[in-house]
Amino acid sequence: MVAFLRFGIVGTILVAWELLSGGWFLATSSIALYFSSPLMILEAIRREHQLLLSDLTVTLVEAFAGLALGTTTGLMVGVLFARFQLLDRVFEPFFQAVNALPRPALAPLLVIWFGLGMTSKIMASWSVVFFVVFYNVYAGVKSIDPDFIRAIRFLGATSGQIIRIVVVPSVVSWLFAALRVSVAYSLLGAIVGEFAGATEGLGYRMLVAQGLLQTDLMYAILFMLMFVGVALTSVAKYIENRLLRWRPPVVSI
Amino acid sequence: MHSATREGAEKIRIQGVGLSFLSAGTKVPVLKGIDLSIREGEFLTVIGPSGCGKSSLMNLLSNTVDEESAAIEGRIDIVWRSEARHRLGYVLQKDTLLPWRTLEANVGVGLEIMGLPVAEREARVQEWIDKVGLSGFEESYPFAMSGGMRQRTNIIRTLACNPEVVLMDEPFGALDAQTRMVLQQILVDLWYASKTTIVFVTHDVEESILLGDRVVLLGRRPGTIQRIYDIDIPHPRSIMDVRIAPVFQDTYRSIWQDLKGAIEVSGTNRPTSANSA
Repeated sequence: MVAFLRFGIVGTILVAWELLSGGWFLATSSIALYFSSPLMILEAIRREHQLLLSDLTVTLVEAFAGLALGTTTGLMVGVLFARFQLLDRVFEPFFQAVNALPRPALAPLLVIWFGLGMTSKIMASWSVVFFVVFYNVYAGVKSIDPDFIRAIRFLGATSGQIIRIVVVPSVVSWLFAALRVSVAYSLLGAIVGEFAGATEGLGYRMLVAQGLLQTDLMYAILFMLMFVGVALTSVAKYIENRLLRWRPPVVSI
Repeated sequence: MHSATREGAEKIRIQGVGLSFLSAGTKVPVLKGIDLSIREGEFLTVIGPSGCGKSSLMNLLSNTVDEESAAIEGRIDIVWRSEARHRLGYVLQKDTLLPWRTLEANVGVGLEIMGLPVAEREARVQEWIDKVGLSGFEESYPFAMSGGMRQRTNIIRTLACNPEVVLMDEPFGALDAQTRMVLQQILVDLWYASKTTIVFVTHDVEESILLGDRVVLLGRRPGTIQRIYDIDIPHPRSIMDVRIAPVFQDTYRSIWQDLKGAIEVSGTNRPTSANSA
């Protein structure tokens, strides 16, 4: 029933969009120039699919590299800060300040530092993912119940065993809880990086299409990003649910 | 000498033990002049008004008092049979099951730490799970378990390691009355089948008699031993039968009288028969 209604809504919107814009029939209408039309978008995808796929690959590589880098560094620094009070107390305001900075504003500078290639986008993606992972891992280590450690020590555990049995699983669970957000942010970082200056990638293609008033191509890119975003978040959610089966079911946000 | 307890060699000797916490330059005495000898294989229960230092006594026995902020007097000797790291078990007030481990994996954690081969570990875990009636719940996670199941798991996790001495700090405190009775029976059976020495802290007079070979009554802070009661009820015990036995009733009355005295001195003095006499 719900699925039926959903299809109905999407179908109605697409048909209305097509008819109201008059797009495919009157390709010169000014409405179609602004709003394009579903059939024109499909046509754009067919026409440019090779270019779009290669741009998509570039963007995904950048996002994944940023995700991997952000997760590893965030994990390491998070554990370090949670373990060493002094580090935490000294650096806390700096981290807050940098995290408060809207990261897109950083992108133009990153392009100057790292060039028009992938590196600057990876850094942009990293700059967002890092903080998400850092704060999660930090909270994860801090939230470990001291009574867990006490009880496990009474069972004869050495410090190494305590880390393996209590600390690592606890941190990993927080890491995976952050995964869904990190994945979405890594994509955001890559696109913003491409906006600031690039020679390939979906974000770059978007700017080019904008310059040429190719709204059909712009829509095509938006839809691709939407599909990729949904697919990646679903995968992250699946992994999270598989690994965090031990958590009581909660209402997801 | 009475037939109720199994006679064993001295396991724990506590001599002139006192404990004070140091806070802001002042000494706050918590325990004073404790002398106690605990036999091997004995089930000793400790009872007293809240704040009398019961838990501190457990921390002294487990050697986990922070010596930076406390002054300890006297000495505690425990005659160990092995050098194993897990020879002393401590069941804390709240259960500390690891939420990401299944019931089975939680029970096995101590054996895992000991480095037992997987096959042997699994067999022993299953044995303990069967003993306390948790079969069929091996794959459950703690969030889905009832309080009674969690505490059973918590207890067998410690007992599975075969500790020589087990300290228990009000393990049944948070359970409802029925679950508590079931777990008391399980615990007393498990203890009877093993050679473990148990020191069990509780604030429940009934529980202290049902489980204990001897009951130690601590007075209000600074805690001193007020009296030690021999519980002359033979083992194996049935919790239900003990409850209605005359010796239980008598002991209950006598402990409650003494305990009431300790509470009233520290609390508000309400008129009692003693006052009007």
